This record gives sequence, structure tokens and C-alpha cells, in this order.
Amino acid sequence: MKFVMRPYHMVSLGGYIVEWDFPYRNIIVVNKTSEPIKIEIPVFHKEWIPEHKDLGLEVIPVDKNDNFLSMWKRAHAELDKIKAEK
Amino acid sequence: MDEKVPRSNIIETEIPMGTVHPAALEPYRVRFFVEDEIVQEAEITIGVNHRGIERIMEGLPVEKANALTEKICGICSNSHIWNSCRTAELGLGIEITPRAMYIRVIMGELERLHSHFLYLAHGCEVLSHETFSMRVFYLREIVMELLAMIGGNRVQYGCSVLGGVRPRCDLDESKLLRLKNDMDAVEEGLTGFVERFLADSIVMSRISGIGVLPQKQAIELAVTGPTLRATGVARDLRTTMFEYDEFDFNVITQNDGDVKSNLIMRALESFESIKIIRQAIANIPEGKVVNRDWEMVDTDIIESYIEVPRGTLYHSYALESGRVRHCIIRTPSMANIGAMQYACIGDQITDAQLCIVQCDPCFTCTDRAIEIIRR
Repeated sequence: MKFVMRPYHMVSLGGYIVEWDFPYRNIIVVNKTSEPIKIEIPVFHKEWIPEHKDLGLEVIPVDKNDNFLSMWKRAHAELDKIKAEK
Repeated sequence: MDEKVPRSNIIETEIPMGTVHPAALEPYRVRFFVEDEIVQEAEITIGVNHRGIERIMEGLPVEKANALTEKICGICSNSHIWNSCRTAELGLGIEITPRAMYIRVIMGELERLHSHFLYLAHGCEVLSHETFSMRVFYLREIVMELLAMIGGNRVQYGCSVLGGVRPRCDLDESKLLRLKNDMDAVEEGLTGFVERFLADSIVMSRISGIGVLPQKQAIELAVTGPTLRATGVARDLRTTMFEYDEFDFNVITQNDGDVKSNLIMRALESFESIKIIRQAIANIPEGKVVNRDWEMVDTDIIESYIEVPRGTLYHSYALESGRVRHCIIRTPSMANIGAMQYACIGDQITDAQLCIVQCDPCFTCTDRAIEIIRR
């Protein structure tokens, strides 16, 4: 199943992860490009991360002990900066 | 002039469907790659229905966040608020009153009945058998009215609260009597429907061997609920949920994983739900419906899994000063939609919609990852 990441957009994939064999609690995915990019969901294995980095996406894994909200806001601020430059 | 491509080299044609299409009830896009009208590959794309519920929940007081989870889905709204409350109850060590536990089970099973009836009716609709479809919709109407009697609405009942259920959802003698009588009516109607449905040789030949999902593939794709059980795997979380400890019921399975197995699976499971509701009516304990004797404390990440009509529902969050942190909600359809792609392969393009429907998808539930749009 695919999910379209719109240009200059970010999503958190928490609800699309099958946690059986996946080491992270959540993933923040940021599309900093001007093109829509299709990603594959659900996420089953950690190999998903390099595969999607290769597509040009920024993939930020979020651990159980990480502060999700601050990581999200930091990524969002960076994306806003890129958007403002365009 | 360009050289023509030899016909023998044209091996596939793409048939796109959606995101808005008369044959689909919800917005999603499917690309079928076909050869001689046989689907060789299918690709489903979602992502047009975002509402960012998990993001809105972030930082909300847990009571408000619980109420918000109901808005995830119109079909299994009770399941979401039940599991969201359950998550906090597990983390805070809140003991639910026995009467509230029974009412939650009754609501859960009524919701399962109306979800399964919707599945059966919609399946018959896709088969173009409107008489069967309407017959099940009439039965579903009885269940919807019962849900409205208990919760006050046909959807979004707001039944579960931390520690139990809302006092307005308590069941007095007259409500219990109506429940009992209506369960008799539903059972009679369902029995008649199933007998007639199974005796219809045209319908049976139309649904046998169509949209087959093999057991191995279902397990690999993390398929859950009745769609998994229709492939022969007896996995039902109700057997491990403490709420169902006092209830006697069977885990129904079918073996073929095709449309027929899925339809029969839901019909037989509905009889088990009626059995559970009858046991709950007969043995419902007296007492309070909500336990308000608890204190709010900070917790680590809490996880709760329950069996809802379409499979396993996962809710997880931490509590910090009574507010929700790092919320994750995974719905059963998220995994089951992967099965839909697989079920279409090898079947006629005309059967594709039937193969999709047989996996009981709910895009409303699934299509709601975090997304913030700043204007």
C-alpha cells in the first residue's frame, strides 16, 4: 500500500508501523523536495528507513524515550525554513 | 511515422480507480495492472483523508483526548473510546466496576454485530443482490436502534469514561428486556438470512474461490481479525482480554480465505456475539457504573490492544500532568488493506471490487496520520 508525501510536507507514521520487528516507536518523514514522493506502508522492518532515505526523504526515527513533540517541532522549523527560501 | 509496438509485446494495461469512484464508498486510489482482464498486480494509495487526530490529541487532557478518539471512525467509534480509556486505566491502575465492564462488553458486541451486518450487506450489494443486502440492512437497523437506546446516538455514543461508563448508559430492567427481545429477533432474522444465502447456488458459485488470501500471506502481512480468521488462524484477542473472562464463546474460523469464507465467517461470528450479549444480560452485576476513586499520576508509555469488529486495535500514549503524550493509534484496516492488494491478484478485473470489499477495509479509520497544514 502506498501513501503520497506531498512536496514540502511532513508526516508521522506511528499508526502505520507494525511493531513486531521494528525497533522504533515512531518515524517522522519529511519531504523537503518540490515533488510528491510515494512511500510504502505499513512499515515492517528497519530496512524501510534507508530505502526511503534513498528516495530523497528525510526519515527521523523516534525512540520510546525520545521527546516526540520537540523532534517534530524541530523538523517542522527546518521545513518551514526551506519553504520560505523557495 | 513511429514504428508500431508489436501486439505480443504489450503485456499489461493499467486500470486506475479512484480516488473518487462510484464503486468505492471511501476515497482511495487503486491501480490495477491487468493482462487479458486478469489482475496481475494492484497498488492501493491512501492519504487523502487526513484529519491529524493523533496530533490534536498531543497535549490534551486525557478525558478530552478519549472523547476525541471516537471521531476516528463512525463504525467502530465505541471501540476507539473504549481502548483509549482502557489505555489510561491500565497506566493509572484504575479498577473498572464489574457492571461497567459488562456494559462495555454489550456495547462492543453490538458494535461488532452492526459492523458485520454492514459487511454482509455491502458484500451482497457488490454482488448486485439487493434483496440480500436490504435484508441484512433491516437487521442492522435493530442493532443501531439498540446502540441509540444505550448511548443516545446511532454513532458516537460516548459510552466509556475513565473508570467505567457514563451513568446515562446504565441499563435498567426495561432496557435489558428490550435488548433480550431484540437479540431474539436478530437471531431469527440472521438464521433465516444465512440459510437462504447458503442455499443460493448462484451466489455460492459467484463467491467461491474468489479473492483468495492464503494463510501464510495473511500472517506475513500482519492481517488481523475476521479477515485473518477466514484463512484458518484462530487468533482472537477477546480470548485474552480480562473483560471477556466470564463469557463463554467460540472463536470462529474458516479455511479458504476467499470471499465465501469471509462472508460466512462474519455471519457465524455474529451468532457468537448474540451469545455473549445474552450472557451479559443474564448475569449483569448490580452496583455502580463508574469508579471515580483514582488519582492522576505521570506514566511511561502505555499500550493497549483490543479485538474490535475488524481486528486488533492498538492505542498507546504516555500521561504527563494528566495530558496525553506521544499518542499512537493503529487500526486493524491498516494491515488488512495490504491484504486487499494481494486478494485482487489472479482474479478477473470485474471481481476486483469484491476482492477489496472482502477484506473489510475502513479507510476512515486508517487514513489519519499526523499532518499539520499551516495556512
